Amino acid sequence: MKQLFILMVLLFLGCGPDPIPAPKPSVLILPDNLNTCNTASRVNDFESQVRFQWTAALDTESYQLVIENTLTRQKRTVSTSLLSESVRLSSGAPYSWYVVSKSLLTDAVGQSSVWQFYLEGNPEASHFPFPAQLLEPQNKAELGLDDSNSLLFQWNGNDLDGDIESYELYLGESTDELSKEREGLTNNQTEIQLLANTLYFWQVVSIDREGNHSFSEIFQFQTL
Amino acid sequence: MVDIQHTYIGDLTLYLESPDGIQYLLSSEIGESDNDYTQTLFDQEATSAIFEAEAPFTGSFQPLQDVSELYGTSSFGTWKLIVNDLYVEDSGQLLEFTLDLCVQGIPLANSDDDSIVDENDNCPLLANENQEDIDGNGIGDVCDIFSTRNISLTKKNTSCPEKDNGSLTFDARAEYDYNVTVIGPSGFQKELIFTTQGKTLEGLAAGNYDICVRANSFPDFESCFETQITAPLALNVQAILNSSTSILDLDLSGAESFNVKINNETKTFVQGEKVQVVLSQKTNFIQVTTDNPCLGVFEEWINLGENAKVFPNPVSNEATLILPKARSASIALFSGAGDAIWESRHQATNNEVVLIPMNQLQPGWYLIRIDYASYSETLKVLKQ
Repeated sequence: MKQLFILMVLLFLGCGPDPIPAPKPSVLILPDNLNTCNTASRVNDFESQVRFQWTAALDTESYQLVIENTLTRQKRTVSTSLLSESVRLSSGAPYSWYVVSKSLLTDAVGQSSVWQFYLEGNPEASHFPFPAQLLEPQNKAELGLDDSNSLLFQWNGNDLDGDIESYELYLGESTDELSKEREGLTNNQTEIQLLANTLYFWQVVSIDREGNHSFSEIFQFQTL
Repeated sequence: MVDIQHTYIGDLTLYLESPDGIQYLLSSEIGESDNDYTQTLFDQEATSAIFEAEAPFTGSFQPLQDVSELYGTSSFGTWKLIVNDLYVEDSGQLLEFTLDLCVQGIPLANSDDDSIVDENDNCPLLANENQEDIDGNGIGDVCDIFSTRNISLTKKNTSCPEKDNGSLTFDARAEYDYNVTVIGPSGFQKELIFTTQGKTLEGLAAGNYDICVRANSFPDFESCFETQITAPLALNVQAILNSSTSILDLDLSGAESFNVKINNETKTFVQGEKVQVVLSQKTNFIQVTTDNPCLGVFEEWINLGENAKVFPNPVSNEATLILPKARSASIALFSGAGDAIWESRHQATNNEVVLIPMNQLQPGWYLIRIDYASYSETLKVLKQ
């Protein structure tokens, strides 16, 4: 008798009249799609608390909120049976998000559309480099060239952030006609071949990681 | 000169502290139970010593410790008389303390009235008590307009892709008035004046800026800078519709290549390519996918015909929905929790205005879903 009962239950499940319905997608509510400046609630200089909200989906028991930082590709997944979730995210980054509807009765899931927003950041102040201090050749010097007709240029650079990336050296025969002689220099010196009996003007540009450029004074010297 | 009243004068020890913080012992535990130091003058040049004297010590006495090493030093700063009462019983009070300084010779010129005479002052005409000289060139910072460390500049990038809130901050060490010229993108030009108080130029859009600092009182002085104020990268896919020309601009970033499906036509684009699409149909379906399925899908309906509009928003009693002309639709109001609250069929021949009753509803977000035969749209409305 017992066996028969189990058999009957199995038969009943196997021949059920309705297939198990797949969870339907939710509709996203907040934060707004394509908002390029979501301010959210600031936690500190680096993080903000963002509230996500969506509608209930049919045939669904729980939701999976998927948030992706679209720059770093880092994903956060939060499971909940509620229709909103507050998540702490790094500010100053673009995010995309969607909600997956799930049910215990089936492996099928529903997926909402994908929305995007930019979470406002707090840009840090970056210091410009101080203009380079020109050392050699000294201003108004008169000097001879070595055998290879070259001369060593030296200067000092300084930046409060310590993030100078490179220097450019400009050289010319008048202050209005300086042309870029060297770029991408990571040392504070370089050798340049010059002509004898010429009055030269030179200037150094310091460039930091943030793209800040500082122009030094212009020095002059006479080759013999 | 000190004048102290005390019921057991022998309890007291007196020190003089010079501005350099050096303590000189003046007297220590003398006079036993007798009363008081009365008009006692400690003078290195006196003929008798304090330890040989008797209370109330009226007159001039050499202090216990030799103070002659103070001769010729600067009097500038804080001088202290320290009175230590080392025993619990008995008490008294300091009635008077004066410091008499004897000055000899010709006073040296000190034009800026700081404590450093001109010949030793690294900035004789501007008071600079601290004598700070960051570049060590012998010229004090407050005067050294030509120091490479004089002008300091900082920059802040914008906080959001389309927000013009970058800034530049100017500061200086040398005390002059400076003029700055800032030339930026799209004809931006600004002049401002700043001093050692500093100044910030705010509200700057992303772009390249040329900056030159000059000083009226020094025509030779000029310090120039260049920078780029950057805005954060925009979203992965941005669709911007120019409604007068029906041209859709798609901005694609974040993957190597993109498949853009517009209605039933699919094209492939690479990153950074500017995609412009002419929308030909009344309702258009845009879908952007990448080769990487993890990156998600961008989907948007763009309706070149009129969209439905709802007002007021936020709503308090009744929401007024205006539908596009001559279109049939089924309309449903959903709560934020997804429950259908109200439904209605709308015929193309009807007036376009539909009133949705919301006065009984709880405050919060509601969605109005409008299903036309070929596409649908969802409007959000906030109930107060």
